[in-house]
Amino acid sequence: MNARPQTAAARAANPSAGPAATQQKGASVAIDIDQMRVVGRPVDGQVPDVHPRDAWTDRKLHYNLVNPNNRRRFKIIVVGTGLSGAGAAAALGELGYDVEVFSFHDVPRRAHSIAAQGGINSPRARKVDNDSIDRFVKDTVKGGDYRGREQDAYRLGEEGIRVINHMQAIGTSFAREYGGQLATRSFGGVQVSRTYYTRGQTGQQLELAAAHALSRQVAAGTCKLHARQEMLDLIVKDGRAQGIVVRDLVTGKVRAQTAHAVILCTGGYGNIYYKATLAKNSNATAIWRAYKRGAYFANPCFVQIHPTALPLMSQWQSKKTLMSESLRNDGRIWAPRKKQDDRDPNTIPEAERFYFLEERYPAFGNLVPRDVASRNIRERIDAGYGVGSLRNAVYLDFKTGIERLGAKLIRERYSNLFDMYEELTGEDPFTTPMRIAPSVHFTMGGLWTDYDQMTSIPGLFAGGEASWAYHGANRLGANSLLSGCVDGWFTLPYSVPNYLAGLLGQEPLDPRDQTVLDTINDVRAGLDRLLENDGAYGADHFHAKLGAIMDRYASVSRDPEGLATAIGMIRELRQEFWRDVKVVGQGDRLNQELETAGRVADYLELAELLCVDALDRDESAGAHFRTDHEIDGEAKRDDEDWCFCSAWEFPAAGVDAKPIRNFEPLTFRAVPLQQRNYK
Amino acid sequence: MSSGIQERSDVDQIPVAKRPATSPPPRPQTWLLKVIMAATGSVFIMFLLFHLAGNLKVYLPDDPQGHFNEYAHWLRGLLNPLLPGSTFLWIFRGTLVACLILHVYSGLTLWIRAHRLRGRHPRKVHATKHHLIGRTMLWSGLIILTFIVFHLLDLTIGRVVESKQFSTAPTYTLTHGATTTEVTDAYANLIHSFERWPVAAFYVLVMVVIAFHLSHGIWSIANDFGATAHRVRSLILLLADIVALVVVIGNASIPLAVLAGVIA
Amino acid sequence: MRLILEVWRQESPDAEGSFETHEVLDATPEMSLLELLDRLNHQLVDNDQEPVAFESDCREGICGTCGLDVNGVPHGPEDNVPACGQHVRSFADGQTVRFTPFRAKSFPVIRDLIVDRTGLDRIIQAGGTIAVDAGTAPDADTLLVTHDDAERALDFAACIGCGACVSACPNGAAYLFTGAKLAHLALIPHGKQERAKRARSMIAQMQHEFGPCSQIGECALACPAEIPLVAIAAVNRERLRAGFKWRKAN
Repeated sequence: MNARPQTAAARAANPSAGPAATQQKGASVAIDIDQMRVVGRPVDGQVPDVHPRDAWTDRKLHYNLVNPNNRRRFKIIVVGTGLSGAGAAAALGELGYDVEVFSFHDVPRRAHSIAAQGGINSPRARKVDNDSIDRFVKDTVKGGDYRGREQDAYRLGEEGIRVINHMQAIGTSFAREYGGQLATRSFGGVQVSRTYYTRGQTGQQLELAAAHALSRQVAAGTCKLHARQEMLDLIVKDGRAQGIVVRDLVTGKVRAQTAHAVILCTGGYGNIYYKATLAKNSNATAIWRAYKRGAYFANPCFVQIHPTALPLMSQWQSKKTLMSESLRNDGRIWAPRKKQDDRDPNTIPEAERFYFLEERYPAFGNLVPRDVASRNIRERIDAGYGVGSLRNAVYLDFKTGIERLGAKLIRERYSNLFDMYEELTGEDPFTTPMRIAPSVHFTMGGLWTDYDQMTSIPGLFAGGEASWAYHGANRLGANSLLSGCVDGWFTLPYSVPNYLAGLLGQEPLDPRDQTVLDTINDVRAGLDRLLENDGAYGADHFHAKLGAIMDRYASVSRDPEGLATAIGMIRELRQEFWRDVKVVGQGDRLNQELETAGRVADYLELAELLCVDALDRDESAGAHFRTDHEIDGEAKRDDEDWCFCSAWEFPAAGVDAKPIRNFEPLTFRAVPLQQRNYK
Repeated sequence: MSSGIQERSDVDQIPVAKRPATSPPPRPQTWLLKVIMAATGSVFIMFLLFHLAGNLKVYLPDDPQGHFNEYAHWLRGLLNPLLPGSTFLWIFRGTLVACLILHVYSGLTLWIRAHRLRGRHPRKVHATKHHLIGRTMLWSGLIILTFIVFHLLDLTIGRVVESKQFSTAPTYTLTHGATTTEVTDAYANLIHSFERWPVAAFYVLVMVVIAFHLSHGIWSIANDFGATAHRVRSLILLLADIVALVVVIGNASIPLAVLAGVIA
Repeated sequence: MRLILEVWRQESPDAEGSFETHEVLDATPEMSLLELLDRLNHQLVDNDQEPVAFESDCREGICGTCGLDVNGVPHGPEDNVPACGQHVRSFADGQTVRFTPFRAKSFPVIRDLIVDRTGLDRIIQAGGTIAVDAGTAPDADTLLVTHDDAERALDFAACIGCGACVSACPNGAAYLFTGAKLAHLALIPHGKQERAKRARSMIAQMQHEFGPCSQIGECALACPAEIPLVAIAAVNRERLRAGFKWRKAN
């Protein structure tokens, strides 16, 4: 090993690596995790005690049903209109429930599911490459480094088969073979071909189909669409989730909607890192406020960092853009052997190029899993070998690929990605190597949900990236679209009625109930606090600072000292925020500064929990790589002590008190525990 | 709180997204008006080509006057003896007038609808052929409408703008072997009219306008009739320009030829 | 780079709007136009002024949230590129860049550069959907779709719903949008079942809010998803086809 992922000491020796380097560097004080969290109790995932393969069948068999005539008496709130939200709302609408759908966008189709590129997995096993549901589960569980439920993965595989049928039927034009059958391709981390796709825009086609299915219910009147409404709080009464409070983003009015059940499909929290590949408006507010009302938050530290995103090209660049993983099939990743090498990459001779993935991982080469690739790229950049004007990237070179396959074939395979790259950077990847850098793009963590996708608050459900289900510590490519579709179309429509059946005859909570009014007042107070704060900086200023901390200490590799430092810095930043934030404009109209400020305030709290979780989880697992738990640069799990899901509980004393880490033990029957190795 | 739902009217309701209209759209429907324009436009194109074929007889080397007048005469008596006298001609004229009314009505209605939905800020456009022509269809159409009136007054009815020598009297003798027929000398009327250079210039100019109107019009017809096949569309794009060119060259050359003294 | 920004400011839908002129001194050629607005907003916030309201989300050209006219052209000077992919390098140092909201009566201004584009969604609601309930679809492999039909359907299905076609159109027409959806659904097996009904209802709804098509072709030049212009012909093709089926629908 000539270059290992960087340790805290190495970072401290390289003060130019980040903006926070001046503070507390290399503090090697003993860290007492008990000062930061309280260990709670085991929680029950409500998983049927049968073989994981039969769990879903068994669970469905025991679900209570609601008579078709009674369905319209049940009001269900769905927040978010991505793949899972639109799917759940449409499916429940089709069944006859009274659904209220909320989105902060103008129309349902804008949800960020739309930006997914590669494809959607489904173990339909039509080919003779020996695919099966069991193999899918094995890949998903192993890929997730054994930190997710086997039973969830089985449901994902089982329902995933008809997801393709359904999405095709409602308008997704999947790629077809010349014989007319559905086409598939291979994706990272698996050896079979089970990824269904529509060019490089699979997410778009699935999201449009789902949003249009929702539109059909909106036209039919079963779903009522409330657009440009942002959920700012959850109404909990008698221990049940009974409604939400939303702010009208156009008029600024804060109102409540009550219902029998609430489903949150509000996506992930990756934007906590400031510049991620997520959409600008994606945020954690809905799930974070639910957490603060009592819903457990699972594994916040499991954040996937994608190796091939476009790096920041300029100081003002607002976000990063993902370039599909498929590029690594024909592109070779390298960095100059000389530090701060400013030469034109085409003039750097072979001998001075370091193909670090190929050299370090001869077996998998450029095709190592995402986390390994990201870590190694980041190591090169941090060590001073980065390229580009901001020295924050490495090269992804297609020269060999073009020589071997010809420019025509390369164009055929990647034209839309090359075009996108050229559109964004003004450089032609055919002649100049691409510059790529790792970027946050998916969060495996999210609201803790039981096997029914219900959170720890009865009546509050979560679907898609907003929940923690399926992916464990690392998500396999093309599994996120699948989990969104399965949750929305084929899980929540079964499990939500099971909960509702027990509420037959009850009206939704009265909107003038004191709890509702109190929650509305809490939200108004929070908004006023922001608006009245007499500070000097816009919220974005603090978001950028938070991103820098997170990037430095809670990214591809983490170490206890760094995390402890980060926690201190985040607490300080949070105080600074409330001292010095200013929100220009008024609250009674469209005010994007106010929206941002509220979201950043939540990030500043969630970031701390993320770091506490990362510090608490004293092992490496999947995307959570702790430099103090490695074997030869690989993540070293500790199944003895950490084979569980951390389900964090908000402390009654408030955000500055120690959160409680409950845990759901994970057992593996179908896929025995095993260590990964890609060398 | 027995009937919570009714009593909630006093609570501020969260706005619900507007749903599609339940009433029928404005009549006549836009798509239908477009089809009417396309259908009537097609009639005009066929008429124009037919008309052009007759006009081009002035270039026949051997007795153009005779051929031209014979053609004019034949037109009047078309479908004789099935239909008596000039019946066919009047049906033909009626159809053209009806088409014209429908075409103009549809065009104006669409223009008004389009204008109402135009936004407030100025736009910068691409200087494509279809943009320049397409956006001026109303104006080229109005010029053509004026021209039709002028043309009828000049060469058919013989009022207001006709040449001094204009006459509908049967002054020309057609000879078919032994039989002879006295017919109107349409050829002479044409020549006399075009001998006035402002009139000739007007005809030429209008032909250019018609060509523009046609080249976009034919393209529009293809779209309005729903031609989506790639080859059909490419063919029609080509055809549109060919037809426009043929019409402008064929028709505009006549007044020029008259002025130049090539035909007299 | 120094750029002069003329930005349309409008407090609310009913307010009279006006232009405001600002200067951005530290623009860089690789900035996108949205980042230019971000930068302007940072300056405004620093000076305690309200930032310019504009919409954007994915900034990768797929969500369709961004939508504004730049110097009178939807999304910006480059054809077929969304605002997030348009760059400052298209402008010269010292040039004036004018930002206005998407122009169409069907897109009323909500604030500054934000317009209400839900009219397009109502066209979809009216019939741009397929009536198959969850779980009832037959096996997708048993319904054969030719490779070419699937790809052709995708050409039309690529629409990102940004509304640039409407803003580009001098008539405020939504033919490209509506035609793309009609053409897409007419090419896939389940979409064919409601083909006539869909054409009637979608086109009826389109006529409620949007203008007539003049076959000018500005829409296809503006479209960031490069929807082919033939989509406009699909509108009348589908409607004429439905017209010959006298079965009462709607």
